[in-house]
Amino acid sequence: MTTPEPEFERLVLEHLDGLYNLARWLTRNMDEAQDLVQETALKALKARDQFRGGTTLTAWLYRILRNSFIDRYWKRQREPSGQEGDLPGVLGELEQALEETEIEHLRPLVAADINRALKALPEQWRTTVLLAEVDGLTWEEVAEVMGCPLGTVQSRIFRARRVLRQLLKDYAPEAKGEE
Amino acid sequence: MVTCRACQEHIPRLLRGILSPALVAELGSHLTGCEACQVELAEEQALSRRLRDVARYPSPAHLRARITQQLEGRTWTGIPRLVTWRWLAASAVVLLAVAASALVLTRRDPLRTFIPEATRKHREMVVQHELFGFPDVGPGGAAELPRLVSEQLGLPITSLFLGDSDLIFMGARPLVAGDRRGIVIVYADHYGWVSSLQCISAPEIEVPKRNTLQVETFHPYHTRVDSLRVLVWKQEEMACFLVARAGDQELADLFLKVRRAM
Repeated sequence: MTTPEPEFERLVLEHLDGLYNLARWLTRNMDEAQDLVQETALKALKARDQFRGGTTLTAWLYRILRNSFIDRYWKRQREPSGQEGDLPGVLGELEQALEETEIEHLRPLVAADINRALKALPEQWRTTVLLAEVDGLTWEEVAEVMGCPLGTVQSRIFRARRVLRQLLKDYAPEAKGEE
Repeated sequence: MVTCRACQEHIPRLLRGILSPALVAELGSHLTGCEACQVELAEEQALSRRLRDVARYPSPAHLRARITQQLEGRTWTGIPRLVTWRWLAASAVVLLAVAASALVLTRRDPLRTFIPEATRKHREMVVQHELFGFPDVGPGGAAELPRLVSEQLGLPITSLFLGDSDLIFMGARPLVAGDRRGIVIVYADHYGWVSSLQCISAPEIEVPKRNTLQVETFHPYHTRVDSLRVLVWKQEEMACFLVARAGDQELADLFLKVRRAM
């Protein structure tokens, strides 16, 4: 049975902080993040009949948000004055390349702290880590958000954690040197 | 028997507590005797602690209001990019046409037609506010408004609410329909919620005694049109319509500011 609209709206609004946090990480821009969350909320309400059991509302909303972000990216890419941003397509290719190469290739992206380290990750890895490790979604929910198999989530988390650890190790000597 | 590679691949799941008790026991046995995997586990635990420090961006306070407004079909002054300028421009044209035709009809059934007209005018002003804004009249210009209204429109107005720290006076527009003259004054709060006060010469209108809202000593007629709240009262031969999207307390506060100033 479909949740009544006011109740559904309330449930969507309860996820505002989480949605905005993810939007900020994806867009790295406050205004764009707000637009993205607003777009997500509107889409969710419009498509609330499509929300079914088998997934959580959190995962469903995050998926709408991330897909909207990717849509925006591709739309922007088609525009002549498209901005360079966090490019899911390119980063998807980067992820594939990373899976075939060594962590050494990430050394130029050495992060100064955990936030910078996360930002250095490909979007698909970063979002996976954020959802699973920071937002506390189950891996099944993360798979739903990312639209990928559970095994891919596990693989991304494993690899992302290794890269994060390496980046943070690289940062440590710099910090010591500054003392 | 668990290998080091298998053990290390299981560590993220181990830390999440999503492994079977049997596998946990098996990994425990391996970890007890394997220094390399103990180091791996310690590093993974340290990373998990570091991940707790990941920045969380709290949503801006106004975002909820902005989205609620949009979800309820309300209009936000910061125009959502989902709403195209073309759509808004078309809406403005339609609203203007509807407003003009509705004003002509007001003589047939005064209050029944005035209230929908007031809400249409309000929406028109919201679009005006969003699309084009109002010319900046400055404090001196706004202060001149009551005199201009009185002299040029013949309305019995000696003073008007021209905004305060919470509510900003945005602008004013004349209302003219046949020989009936009036004015609409637009206010917006810091979140962009628009309210309008519409005063029009309407000596024949009688404000019903029913459906009133008691606000201190005042008893304006109160009604709703869609999500808009409308308060109506008479002041000499002038009918006043206060239109806003507001809760009870906000509406009462707004009314008092406007009513006391007049």
